[in-house]
Amino acid sequence: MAKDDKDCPHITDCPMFTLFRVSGTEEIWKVRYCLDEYEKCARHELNQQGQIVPIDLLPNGRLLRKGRR
Amino acid sequence: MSSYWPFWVGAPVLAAVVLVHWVVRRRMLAVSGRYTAIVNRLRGDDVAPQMSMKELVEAMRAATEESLGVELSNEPPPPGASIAATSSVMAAPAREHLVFMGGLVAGGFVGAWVGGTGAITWLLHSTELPRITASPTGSVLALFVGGVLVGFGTRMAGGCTSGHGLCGLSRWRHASIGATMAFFSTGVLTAYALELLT
Repeated sequence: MAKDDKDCPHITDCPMFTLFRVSGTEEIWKVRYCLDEYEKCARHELNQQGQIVPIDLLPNGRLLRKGRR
Repeated sequence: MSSYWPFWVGAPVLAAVVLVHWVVRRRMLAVSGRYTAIVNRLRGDDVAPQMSMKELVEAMRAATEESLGVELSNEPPPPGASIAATSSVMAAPAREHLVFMGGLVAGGFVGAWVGGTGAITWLLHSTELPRITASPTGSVLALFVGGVLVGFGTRMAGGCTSGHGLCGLSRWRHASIGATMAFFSTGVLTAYALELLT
């Protein structure tokens, strides 16, 4: 119950969140940013400043780039 | 006699809509969130198109490992996260949002039809609007300004009556309880103010 109060308000419309889900990394990012400490999310910060959020901006401030796997 | 559905019909129908939406999409029902997503897409603030779905998924898994120091390589792929599935998920949002919005309009027609008032009209027949303005232009303007204020308020509050009132309250979210109290009390006070002033 208390955890829900910390949910990021953008959790339902964040395009990056969809990518978390389909890549199987949802729980990891969600716990680190979307639920507990979303005020530290780089996407949230930019949104709060009224700026356009880059589509490939990760919550930790890095940009999503082609990986080497 | 009121043309509104009785609460004992409307409430279960609303609850069913929220539950079906969750079962089908695994997302909370959030109408203003849909609008936001459409606007984001129109602004270009959406998922990167420069990579294929497979590349996006691989990039995300690599970024997760590098950024957060977790090991994902031995984990089984998430259920339904095959490349075909991810393609449909990633391609779906724009269509999905539009279908959802179309469903809202269609739902209005169905509701009017079931209520026996299904005639289409472009005039505003509200009994309350004449309290504010008597002219048709004034009515449209009042609705437009009201819509802008609702949009501003829902963005500021991070949700609307569906996200906060239906989903947030049922999850006992304190923010949603506060938001719902704010917009319902404002509505009641506005109604009383109009009653006194007109």
